[in-house]
Amino acid sequence: MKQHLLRFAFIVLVCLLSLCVQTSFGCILSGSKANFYSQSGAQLLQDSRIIVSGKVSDARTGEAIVGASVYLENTNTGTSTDGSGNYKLTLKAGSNTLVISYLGYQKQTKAFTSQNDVTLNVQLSSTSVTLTEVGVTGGKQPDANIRDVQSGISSIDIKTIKTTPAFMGEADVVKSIKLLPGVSSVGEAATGFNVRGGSTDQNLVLLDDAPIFNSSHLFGFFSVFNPDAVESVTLYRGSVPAQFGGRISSVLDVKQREGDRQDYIVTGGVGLVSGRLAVEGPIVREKSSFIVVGRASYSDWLLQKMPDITIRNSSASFYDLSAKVSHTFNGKSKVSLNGYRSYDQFGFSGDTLYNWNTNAATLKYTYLFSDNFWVDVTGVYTDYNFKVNAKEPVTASEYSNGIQLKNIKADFALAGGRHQVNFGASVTAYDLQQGKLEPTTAESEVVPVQLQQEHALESAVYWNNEVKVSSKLSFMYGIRYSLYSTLGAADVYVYEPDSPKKDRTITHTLNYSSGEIIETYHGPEPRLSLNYTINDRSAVKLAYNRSRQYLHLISNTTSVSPTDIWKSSNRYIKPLIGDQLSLGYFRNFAQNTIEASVEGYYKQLENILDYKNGANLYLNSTLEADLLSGKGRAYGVEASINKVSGRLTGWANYTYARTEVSIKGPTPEETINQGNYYPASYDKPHTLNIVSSYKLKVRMTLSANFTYSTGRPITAPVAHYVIDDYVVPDFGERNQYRIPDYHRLDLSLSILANKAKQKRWEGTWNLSVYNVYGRNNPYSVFFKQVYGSPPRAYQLAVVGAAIPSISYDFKFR
Amino acid sequence: MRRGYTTIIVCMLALVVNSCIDPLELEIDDRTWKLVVDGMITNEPGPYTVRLSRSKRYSSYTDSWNAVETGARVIVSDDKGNEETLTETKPGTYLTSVAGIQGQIGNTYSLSIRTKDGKQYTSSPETLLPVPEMDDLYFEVRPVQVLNESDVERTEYVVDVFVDIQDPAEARNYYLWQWQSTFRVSTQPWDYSEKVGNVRVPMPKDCCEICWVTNTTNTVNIQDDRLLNGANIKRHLVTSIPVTAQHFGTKYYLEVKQFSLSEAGYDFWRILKSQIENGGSIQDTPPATIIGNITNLNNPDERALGFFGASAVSKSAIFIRREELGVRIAEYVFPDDCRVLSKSTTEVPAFW
Repeated sequence: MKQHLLRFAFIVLVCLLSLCVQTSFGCILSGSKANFYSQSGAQLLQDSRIIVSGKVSDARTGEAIVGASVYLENTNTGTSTDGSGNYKLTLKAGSNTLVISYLGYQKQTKAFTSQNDVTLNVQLSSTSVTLTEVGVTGGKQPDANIRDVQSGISSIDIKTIKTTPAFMGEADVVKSIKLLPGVSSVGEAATGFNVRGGSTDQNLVLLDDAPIFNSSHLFGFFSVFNPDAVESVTLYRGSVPAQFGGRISSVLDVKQREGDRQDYIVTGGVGLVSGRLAVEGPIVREKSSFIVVGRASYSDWLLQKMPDITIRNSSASFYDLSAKVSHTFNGKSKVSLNGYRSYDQFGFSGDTLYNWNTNAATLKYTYLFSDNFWVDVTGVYTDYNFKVNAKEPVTASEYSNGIQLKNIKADFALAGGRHQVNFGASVTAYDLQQGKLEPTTAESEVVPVQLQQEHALESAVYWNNEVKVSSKLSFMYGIRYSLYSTLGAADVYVYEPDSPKKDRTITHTLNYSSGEIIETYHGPEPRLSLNYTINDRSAVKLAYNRSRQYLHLISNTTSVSPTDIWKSSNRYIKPLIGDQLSLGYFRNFAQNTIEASVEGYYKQLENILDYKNGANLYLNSTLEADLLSGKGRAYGVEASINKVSGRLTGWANYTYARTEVSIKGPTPEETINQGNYYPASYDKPHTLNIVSSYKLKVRMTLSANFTYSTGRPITAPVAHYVIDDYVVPDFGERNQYRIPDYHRLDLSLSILANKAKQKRWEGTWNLSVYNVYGRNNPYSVFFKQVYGSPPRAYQLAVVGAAIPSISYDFKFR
Repeated sequence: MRRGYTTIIVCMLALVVNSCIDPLELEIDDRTWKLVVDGMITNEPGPYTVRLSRSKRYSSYTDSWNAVETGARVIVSDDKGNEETLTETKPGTYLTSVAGIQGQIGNTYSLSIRTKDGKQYTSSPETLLPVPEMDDLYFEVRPVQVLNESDVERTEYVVDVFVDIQDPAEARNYYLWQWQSTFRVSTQPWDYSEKVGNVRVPMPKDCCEICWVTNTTNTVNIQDDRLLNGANIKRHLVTSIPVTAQHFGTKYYLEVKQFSLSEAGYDFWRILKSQIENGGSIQDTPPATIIGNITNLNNPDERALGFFGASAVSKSAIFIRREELGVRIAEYVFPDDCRVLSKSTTEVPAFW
């Protein structure tokens, strides 16, 4: 069986590769045609012109469709709709046929004859046969890969996420993100993801504008985004527009969908681990809607059935719930309110219970001053808490830490002519709970500890302009200015100036009253993107970004642990500053059905943190004394090829990425590896991802994923020695060894149960096998001595076998 | 059918949850064989011991200790011009003479080593700091709730031994505690039997019934006075002794030594402690290199391991009697010669 699957996967891979080769030949042949088109384009200019404009909206919800493509049939003349669904095109007077399309919607063709300007509003209806539309929306227009000024941006369609083979059948946003070029993670059950050599805390993860501080369910096996609630997922890793800030590596922008404004619809799914249910419908038909989406695991119930008592005493459960209401007032303004909660509980053998939860809310008001000038005013609240409950009678206690955020912002957008201007301002208040330990029973011998809270205020203004200078050249330039202050009430230790910071070198303590400014950091963050379109099929894109990050996740493990604390920049911890320069070459083949690109980047990081030898990160009131800061550099090349349509779709990408850190302090104690550059703990030089999906029949799609990456670095003991009868491991230099490489093949088969168009029930079966050839990918490596044998390295694999699963999704209207 | 489905799910989940731990071949080939120094001078009369050895490859056995450094010239000296060359009494173990150098409070000591291969090492100077007397050494019995295999709560007892000291206010102080304990065991050598095939065959032994067993410090026990400079150190836990039939046949003798440490010494022991006590839990401190105070005079980039310290010592001892515990203790059952117990002797100790 295993052999058959392997053989099949091999065939899929070979097909994908041979297809790529074939089509690129096809393109070389058709390349000569390009000249012909551009010449006839020049002739067109002499004819009389009309302006065609209008709005593209969803036929069902009436909601504007952003990024829909509108183009003249059989030509390359076209545009895409702006942030409010509007488009404008200049065409030759006379007969024209426009094709309006958007992924997941039925394509519409509008023919008209006119000598004057025309307004043409188009309503698209969504396609019900979802599985046939598997595709990567790397660009929303067919040639967006070439035309878009920004580089290093990937969007994944939620339908792609749902058909990608998933662990335990749980379609997962973050797992899919990890298959994009330039994205990696340190292992199976690792929290978060690493983008272009950045640590996991350098990604701004937004769920409807609300920052999410822990995107993991069950220690990273799943992510907190319910696929049924998600509308779109966009990852910015290269050009980051100036409206985003606060993290230096990337922005993952997850938008949740709004409820249907016409009909009541129930969607849901049953998998091995969790069940999902979504209910949506109009409140006032055409004007307002609601959607409530929930997901809950029943893994606890399964654990109870296990033969092993330790497992039976374990608990692992999670749920997430989101609800959204939106209302449109007379086409001029719109308000939406979104609430979100995710909750996790994990305990091993009953004595220690880990628990984390996120509560978030977003209130957004959009007002259109005119068709091409509008504003979004958004209020955001996020509250993240982490808790550990110890149940042993003597140590019964609760440990907690967390972060709360309140944000208000106004974002203006002005689209007109060749410019698209975005500007706005944002203010965010943070409260960071650094750690608290309390006994929970009278018999408990735990001594209570409470570290003081941190408070901070981050403000930013930005201005971003996207200009199309000519058909060949477009720019996006912008600037963000951020200002960050840590505020009292707080006691701040002052250390002896010329010696390493330690609790014993504290000279005195400064007391700040509530709201008093302790330290302020500020600075400009310029952003620049440039697109030089060589011809309709190829473009060169250049991008430069500077970002400042004021929050730091202090962590020394790969999974969620009590030592992971969100910490504010303060008197001692300076903000991270990242500068990234990237250059890419983009080339489309076969009528834009194959998109290829090669992007290189170089990043410089200032004030990157690592820990001292022997650091204690748990409930440490002088944490700054155990941290060191230095500089980092990250560089890499990403090569990617996407096939966006046809029976076989998918992508393949290879990333070479390095991240190195150098920490050189005034004393040996404050220096790591003699100040030389060493690999960061998430440095993974080689990554290869192949994601493919093949439509076997109209209602049957087979998908295969393959992923390979270099093992992450670890610090290993190179020797041992004896001091006072203790056998002491002698650890070598930091991060000089690596755990074995990671690779995995997944397969899945999606079967759409029925097709008839007007049926009220739609069902989809998804069968998948994760880790098909049962690779024991190491999750962590540890060192120990078993009595009677020499000490050695051991690896822990979390998923050491092929995991088959089955799930069923349904939609009822 | 429903049952079958459940079974399938359970099997699948079992595959996931039953994560596997496997030995890993990691290409670690360290051939630096670093010099390891382990020694201390105190204000108690000598002789003092300095042990020289070499680090061994991580994957080599730890028990067969043969990486000793022989034939070195080891000199201890102070800032007052006193010095003494140590004598190698057994391979790798270097001793001062009985009537030789003795540590004095306030003096600064260092060690210089010239190895067989001609390399010169020195320890950074360590000042011998004073140490207060122990005000009180006492014990308390504490019940411990433990969960057994089938998750039933059971009460066990431990004896916690505490020390109270008066911490001098004038300076920052760092302490290290070590202890040595002795207890009497009474075994049943006449009940000795051996398994021959599948049958236990009685093979009574004539000797010996009564022995004295010695235990020594098993954890690094250090403390700084940052939170209580000049106040009393109260109830500092020296050790916890499990209440077992073996330990408390009659009484339990515990001698505690309290050492002063320098700042560098404290840091050395603190990091060493964190590295040897790491149990693979996620709250553990990350791996660290332990910075000692030994350097190669000719090549400062060569990392030598270990520490040569200077400490003042104060001593105290207590007897803990079986009847004082207030806990019912069963009779010790050990049907063999008591001398097979490790670190046991039939000779009555002088203090008993």
